[in-house]
Amino acid sequence: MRLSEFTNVGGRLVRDKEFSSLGRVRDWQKNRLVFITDSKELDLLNRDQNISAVITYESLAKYIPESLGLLIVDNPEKAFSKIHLTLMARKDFYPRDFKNDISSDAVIHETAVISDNSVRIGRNCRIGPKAFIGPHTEIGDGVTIGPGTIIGADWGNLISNDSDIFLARAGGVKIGKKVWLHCNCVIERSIFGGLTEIGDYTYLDSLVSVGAGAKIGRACIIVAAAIIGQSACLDDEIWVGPNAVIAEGVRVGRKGSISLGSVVIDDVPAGKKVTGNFAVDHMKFIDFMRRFK
Amino acid sequence: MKKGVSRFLRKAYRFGKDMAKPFAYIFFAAQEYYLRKHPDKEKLPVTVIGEGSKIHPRAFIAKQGVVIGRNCLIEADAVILEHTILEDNVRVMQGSVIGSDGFVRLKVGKHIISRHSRGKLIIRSGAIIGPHCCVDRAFWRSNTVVGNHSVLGSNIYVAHDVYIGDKCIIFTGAMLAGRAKVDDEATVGFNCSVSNDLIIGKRAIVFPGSVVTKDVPPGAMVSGNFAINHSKHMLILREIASQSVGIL
Repeated sequence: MRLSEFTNVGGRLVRDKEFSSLGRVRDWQKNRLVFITDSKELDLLNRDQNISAVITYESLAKYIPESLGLLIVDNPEKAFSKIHLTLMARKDFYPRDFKNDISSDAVIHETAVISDNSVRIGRNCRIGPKAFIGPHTEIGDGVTIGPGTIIGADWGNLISNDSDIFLARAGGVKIGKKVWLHCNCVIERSIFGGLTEIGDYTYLDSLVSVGAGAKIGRACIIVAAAIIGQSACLDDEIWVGPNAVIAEGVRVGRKGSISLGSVVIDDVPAGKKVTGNFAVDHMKFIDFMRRFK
Repeated sequence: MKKGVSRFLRKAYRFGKDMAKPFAYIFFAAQEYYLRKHPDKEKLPVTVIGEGSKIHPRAFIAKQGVVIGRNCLIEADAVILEHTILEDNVRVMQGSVIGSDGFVRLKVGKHIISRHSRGKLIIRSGAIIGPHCCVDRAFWRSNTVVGNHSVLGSNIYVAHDVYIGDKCIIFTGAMLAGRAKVDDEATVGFNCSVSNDLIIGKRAIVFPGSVVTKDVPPGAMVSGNFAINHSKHMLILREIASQSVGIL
């Protein structure tokens, strides 16, 4: 897909470039097209290798690195949503609809609601009462879904205050094998092509909510009422404590540990334990708290 | 299995005493093996619903092992699972899940051991469980208890083996981790987190947004992340406000 193919958007095309996905600035998808309306986000452009093209204002255009594709428009959000809707209409860019493929071994409760199309459920799955499974959901073998859990929640997405700029959701949810989801969890459906992913052998406790396009690795434990923001990227074997918040687009390294009640707004390196609101290194935080004894 | 031994090993595991850790793992593995070898053979009795109880047609109540007292009110989309006892005048609001298995997961190297629950959940008379709450049943032949006339707001998580006393108020978004004890007439504010094995004393107040990691004495007021004495916390905040550069 090239920027020059979208002549209906208007604006001035400075550098044409190929892209294979759409996304936000803080996101994990490769080779993606993003929009920028705030000068604070410019810093991230240089750090992220996965961005290939940018839509932005005339005033910010001079700060965009030479290597990236560039389209200058009056309203970047509107142009971006227009490209998204055009791609949704084309049906060869985003995941396609497929027929329901539900294993006969799966035990699905009579009060659970499952979408009519595009659901794949593996062998030996157990789906509890009042659970909901939306379209474009792939569930691996041996998954347990507790009562009241919602997978593939879809309420569109507003990207600005302007009410006619609206992103319909085109992605889905992918859940690995032997995942355990407890009661009343909410897992959002992703907006763009990259699915919301939950790796094998991961355990999610009650009331956990996972944002659109978030990626959770293998053998993670996410304890009750934790919130994982949109496009957050969690590696393998991570422990997220109760009531913790991981902000949008944050990356947590392998074997990272996030204490209870912490609010993480910056990337966490592998093997590190963070605590506090906002989260800092655990030992530093404890030393700081000792001052008030 | 003796309760004291279990408690000691649990504490040892929690404080990461390296000597006791392998033993704790062995103990838990043995316990899990025992549970698998001897599954609950007793047949669960058929669900009993007391007179005057109103149950919404869209609510789901397990066909076995639930006891509901008189004049209870179960709203739409509520789910009540096995091994649950509701006494009289209990109210369970929309979308709550009552009596699910406890979330007990242990990491052993690369693997995660999940453990089966065997306990019960008792909700005493006059208690109110707000919308979209989750209350787990106990793990090892004990009870999770919500006391008389206690009120739980919405989106609250009450973990396994928690004891909530009489006339407590737990506000929206709070979460009580495993084996925590909230004594009579205590208040837990909005979006608080209470760590496991803690005791919140009688008439104590936990301010909104606190993260409690230590026991709260009776009648005390705590706030902050991590929670400290409330008046001390306010002094610190005033100090920060008075300085041009923050103390961090």
